[in-house]
Amino acid sequence: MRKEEETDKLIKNPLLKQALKGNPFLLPDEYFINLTNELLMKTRISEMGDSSFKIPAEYQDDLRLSILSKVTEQKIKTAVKSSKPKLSSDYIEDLQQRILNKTVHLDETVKEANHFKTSNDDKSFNKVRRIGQQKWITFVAAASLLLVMGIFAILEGKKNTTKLNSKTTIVQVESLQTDDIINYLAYYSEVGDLEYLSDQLEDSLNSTEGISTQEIKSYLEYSL
Amino acid sequence: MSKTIEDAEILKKFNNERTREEAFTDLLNKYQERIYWHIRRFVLSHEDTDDLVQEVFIKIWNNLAKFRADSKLYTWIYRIATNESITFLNKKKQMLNISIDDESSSYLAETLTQSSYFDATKAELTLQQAILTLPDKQRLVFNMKYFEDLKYSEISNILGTSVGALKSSYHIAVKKIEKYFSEID
Repeated sequence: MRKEEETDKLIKNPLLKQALKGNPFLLPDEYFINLTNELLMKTRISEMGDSSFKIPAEYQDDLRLSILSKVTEQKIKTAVKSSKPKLSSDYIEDLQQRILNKTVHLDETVKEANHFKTSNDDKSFNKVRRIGQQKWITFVAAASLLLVMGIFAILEGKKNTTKLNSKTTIVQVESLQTDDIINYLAYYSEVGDLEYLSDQLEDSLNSTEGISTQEIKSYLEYSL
Repeated sequence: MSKTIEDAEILKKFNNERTREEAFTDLLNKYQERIYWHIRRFVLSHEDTDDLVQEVFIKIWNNLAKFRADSKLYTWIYRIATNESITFLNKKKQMLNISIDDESSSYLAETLTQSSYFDATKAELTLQQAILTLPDKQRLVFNMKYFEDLKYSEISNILGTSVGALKSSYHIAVKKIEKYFSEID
């Protein structure tokens, strides 16, 4: 009763003395029995947690290295993503125009290129190369056409030359003398014809009525 | 029987892996009620006390093998319980934006009236309210001296305060409580 003696000396208030003897704090039934069981269960769990799961030797070191490498990998991926070259907003349009210049507007580009080739001061000019290497078909077609035209021309030329020679022959016969004609016939004609023609020719010469000059020319053409 | 088991016996059994759990059971039977009330009178709430008691004894289980017996076992257990309780209340003060230097424990008064595990007469309620006007350390001294019936030397070992300071603190605490009662009346 030590505490009461000491406190009784200090406290005079009877109400306080009475209050000090009571205990207003409550707790659940069988709390301490349950508390013991709960604490024992927790200690058993903590013991199991330490030894029930076994891990391979050097697992912790390997795990650490694995985690570090994954972190580094993630950092690299992030860095690559952020450093990826970005396309300018009008890149696609420029690309389209450049393609058109090299295809649809190719002739204009070549003319431009030729113009700039003669300009020695324009050093910024870039050589324009034709694209479309398959233009050889056009060249072949053009060459073939030229060949055909040439052949026709040659053939036509021969025909005209023949006609022209006939016309020249007629002009030359008209200018020939009778004696020349007789001599020619004597040289080139057959014997029988020659005698007959000579006789006939003299007769005709003596009588030129009924045989025109044209008839004689025609006969000569036939004979020749 | 288990309640009268000596601390030395408990320690010996605990150091043997086969009898460790039995030793811990003995320790619980001997100290769990005392530790419960030591904490309960300080933090007032049964739920908070339950959590703290379990934390204290789990800590004891984890560290008892390292106990070097340079102090008595019950002193070591009480010290753990006291430090855990003070830490808990300091955290509660921070949550309520109350300065740790604020010595008043009046913020706990609401805990008293709202708890379903508190059934007090008017005088008992007034007493608890009076005790809450004391600083935390003085409250501990009063509780340990009057309600737990510990010697000043034992309280000195637990709190690390001289016997003289403890006596003075206790007397001041009693006077304050009486004055509170007189003012209420």
